[in-house]
Amino acid sequence: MNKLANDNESSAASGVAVQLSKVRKQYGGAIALHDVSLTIQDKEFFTLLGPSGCGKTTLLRIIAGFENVTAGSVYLHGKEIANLPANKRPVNTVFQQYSLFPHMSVLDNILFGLQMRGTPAGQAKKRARAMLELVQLQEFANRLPSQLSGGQQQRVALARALAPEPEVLLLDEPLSALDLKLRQAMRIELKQIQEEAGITFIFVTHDQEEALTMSDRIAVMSAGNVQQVGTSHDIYDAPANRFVADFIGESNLLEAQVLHRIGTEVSCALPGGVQVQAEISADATDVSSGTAGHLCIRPERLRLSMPNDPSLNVLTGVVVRQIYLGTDTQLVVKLAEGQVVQVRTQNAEHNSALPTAGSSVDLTIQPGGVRFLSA
Amino acid sequence: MSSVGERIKSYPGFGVLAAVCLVLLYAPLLIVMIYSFNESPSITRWGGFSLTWYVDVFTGSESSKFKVAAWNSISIALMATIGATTIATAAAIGMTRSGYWRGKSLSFALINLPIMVPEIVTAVATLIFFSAIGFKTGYLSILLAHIVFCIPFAYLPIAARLQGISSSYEEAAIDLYASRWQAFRYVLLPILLPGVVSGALLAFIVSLDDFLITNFVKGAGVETLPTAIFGAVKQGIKPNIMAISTLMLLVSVLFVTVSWWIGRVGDKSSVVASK
Amino acid sequence: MAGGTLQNTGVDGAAFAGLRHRLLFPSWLTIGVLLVIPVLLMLVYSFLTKEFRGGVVWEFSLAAYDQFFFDRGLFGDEPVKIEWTYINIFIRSIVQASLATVFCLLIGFPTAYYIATRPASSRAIWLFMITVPYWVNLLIRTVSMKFLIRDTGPLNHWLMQAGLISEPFHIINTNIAVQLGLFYSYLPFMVLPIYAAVERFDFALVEAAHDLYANRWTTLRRILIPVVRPGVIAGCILVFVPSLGAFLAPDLLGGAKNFMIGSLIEEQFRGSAGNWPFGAAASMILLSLVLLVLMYYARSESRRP
Repeated sequence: MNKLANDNESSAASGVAVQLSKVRKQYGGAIALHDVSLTIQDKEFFTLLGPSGCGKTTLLRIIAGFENVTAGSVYLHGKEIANLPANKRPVNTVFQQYSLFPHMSVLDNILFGLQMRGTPAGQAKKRARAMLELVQLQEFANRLPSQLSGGQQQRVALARALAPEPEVLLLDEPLSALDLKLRQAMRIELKQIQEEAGITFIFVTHDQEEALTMSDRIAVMSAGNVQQVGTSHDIYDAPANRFVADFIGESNLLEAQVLHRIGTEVSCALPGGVQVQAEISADATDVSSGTAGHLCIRPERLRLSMPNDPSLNVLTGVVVRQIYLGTDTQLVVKLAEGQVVQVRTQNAEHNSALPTAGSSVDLTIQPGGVRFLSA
Repeated sequence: MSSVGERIKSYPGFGVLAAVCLVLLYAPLLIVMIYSFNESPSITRWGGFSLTWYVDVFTGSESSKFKVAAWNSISIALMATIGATTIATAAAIGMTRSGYWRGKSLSFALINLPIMVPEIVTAVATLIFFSAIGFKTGYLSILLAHIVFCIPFAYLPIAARLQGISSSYEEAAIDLYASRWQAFRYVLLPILLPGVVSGALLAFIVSLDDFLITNFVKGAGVETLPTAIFGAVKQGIKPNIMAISTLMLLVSVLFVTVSWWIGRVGDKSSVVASK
Repeated sequence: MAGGTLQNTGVDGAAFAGLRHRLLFPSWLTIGVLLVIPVLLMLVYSFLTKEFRGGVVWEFSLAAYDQFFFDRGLFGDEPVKIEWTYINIFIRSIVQASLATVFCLLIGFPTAYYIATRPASSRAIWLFMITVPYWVNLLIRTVSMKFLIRDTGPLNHWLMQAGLISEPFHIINTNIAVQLGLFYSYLPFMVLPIYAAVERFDFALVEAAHDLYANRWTTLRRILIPVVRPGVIAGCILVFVPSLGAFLAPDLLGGAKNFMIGSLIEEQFRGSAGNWPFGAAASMILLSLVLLVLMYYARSESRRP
């Protein structure tokens, strides 16, 4: 995590949209953000992902200017903006509940920011029309927000925030009020709009699927700290710690101890003595033989294999329960060591019947499917 | 709603008592209304329908006295309403938009103090205050006293509506480069307007209705409608009093109806639902 | 940026949070100067010496409280005797206000309950009907009541015409008339808060109680009333407090013999016959009583789970 705290001098460098340097937020004695440092690139779709109360919304509100920092600095394209009030920041927000002005038409909502900025009327109208076109709501210009569906309101909120051409667009869980189907459709649309508009998006969500599908990079947050920053792949396949492994997708976490380490490979022993070869992050420099930690294995990385298969990275156990999930079947397997793991297999891949409760199984971990986490 | 569910809810006799309650509340008012149209100057016996006493209110021997009193009442009520509503709107925004802070409940108690202190006590205290600082009691002292006790009546509906309006509307406005004044003027105030109008109408009615405090601080010579009516009633209930009463009653009903209607229309608008 | 940069941009939290003091100051100033200071001044006045033409002499004195509680004065030669005249007026006021509260509750609770259990459309109409008298001028309402019930009023007229009574039924200028006036004045104050509480009540609880073999009245007593209690207490306070300090009902309906605190206080400030320190002292005693009731209420509110 320390590697994130880049030196502040580099913030002025081109290509960086927002830089947060040791941002701390305290409410009385409660600390909402612990010296968070983040660098968000220009034109990037950057997501702040975490459970409720992790500080992601606070961070967004600090960038927007709705909250002051207790300590630390916020830079927008190299300029310190911590003391700039919200209405002077070239940053706009799409609110969770949209907050469309209920007494104004769709067009007037979109015009509002332009008018407040003093854009000449003709130019503002043109820009607003262009925005309506971008979100495909031209024919709704004179409706009131209450006459629109949830999805349409969402798009008006987006158009309103984009109209004044902000340097950065902030989105506070904008899809959470929509139903599942619409939410899925909007993900793709949102990503398209971002690419078309060519603006940096900072997106806040607690929905990992949303984060994984749209983001260029994701910052996983928990308890006021950034746990990991990386692409969707990085975060899913190479979680930095147990929190990330647990929060993103499903994972089996097994206690283990390092026997020896060679570069990014470690040999580990489970409590029962079974040995497993695992990968490890190059910057986990504190891990050496004797380090205790956890093995992280995704359920789909465990394969059922013939008993007594002699290859490495095999766990043995007994099936406790078989759960049919449509495309997949999930097996709950109790290992010989006593730990319980989830195994997920695609139904289309199986011609033969899956082992039922009570039968013994061997589980092979796919190559590259297990990581050792010291934290 | 099944009939069983309805039956479980209902208690025998409650409906009758509710009807009794309405009759009790309205009977005296309706009877005064009816008798205000009584031809006969003997106010108990019915002598046929007539508008005599309404004509008397506007042209009779006491009409000039009542006209002055009515003008005082209305002008004081108007100014007190503007003053109290402005103060109450600012206070309601300050209270509902500031999160938690030390002394907030004290501030709430202070704003609502005028409805917690018994009217007679407020009346005495205000009289003593004006007398102690040598302020001549009269029109101005009535106005000042009215502004004070109208504040909580204006405050409560405004604050109630503000609580139903998400603060993200103002934030959205500020985010879109509006100054705080512009955020208030173009976004919050239009959304809040039904609450402000309700509050203002109630403040107006409360000011128009006040007798006790006015009676203490009016000094000699200045009368409002209630003090004039009280003075007249002390001489006996004459039919012209009943006509004035009926007119005032209708004004009250009109105001409450408008206020109520605005409140309902306000609630139906999308604001509260989409907060 | 070295060290903690704790500049205030004035936009922390909601948009107007930074303006809190400026927004609240006008209300604090108005009410502080025109109500808090006057009440404190009234407290001071209650310890001053009375001026015979009305007003006060700035000289410390306990005479007002002395006159209120003791016969011939605490500092007289005679053994101290309690003076009952004023204490009795207070007791009568408390009894009248309590009775009005009880009667309003007896009619108001069933009414509020009945309204709250109506379908939404007729509920709105009922509620409106209850609200209107609430806002009709109290003086006019009291005058109407006086007109209705006096010896030569329509009520007696009809009763005599119907042959039910041969002589006018005399209630004007009695304690009963005052009671009727108080009840009539403050009845809506009882209905509205109870209505609000019952309206929020979850009637699934009633079904649960019936499911567990409770009958209608047990359900009312054990489930409904405990849950809506805060509304009932609020209603009782809204009736009791203004009844205690009422002036119009006792003055117009009670006549000279049925004094309540309100009339006693008013008399002290009427013309030159008054006694300002005594009126201020009586007001302080009334205010203390009301504050006690309100404090009790605030405490019971804060103890709610």
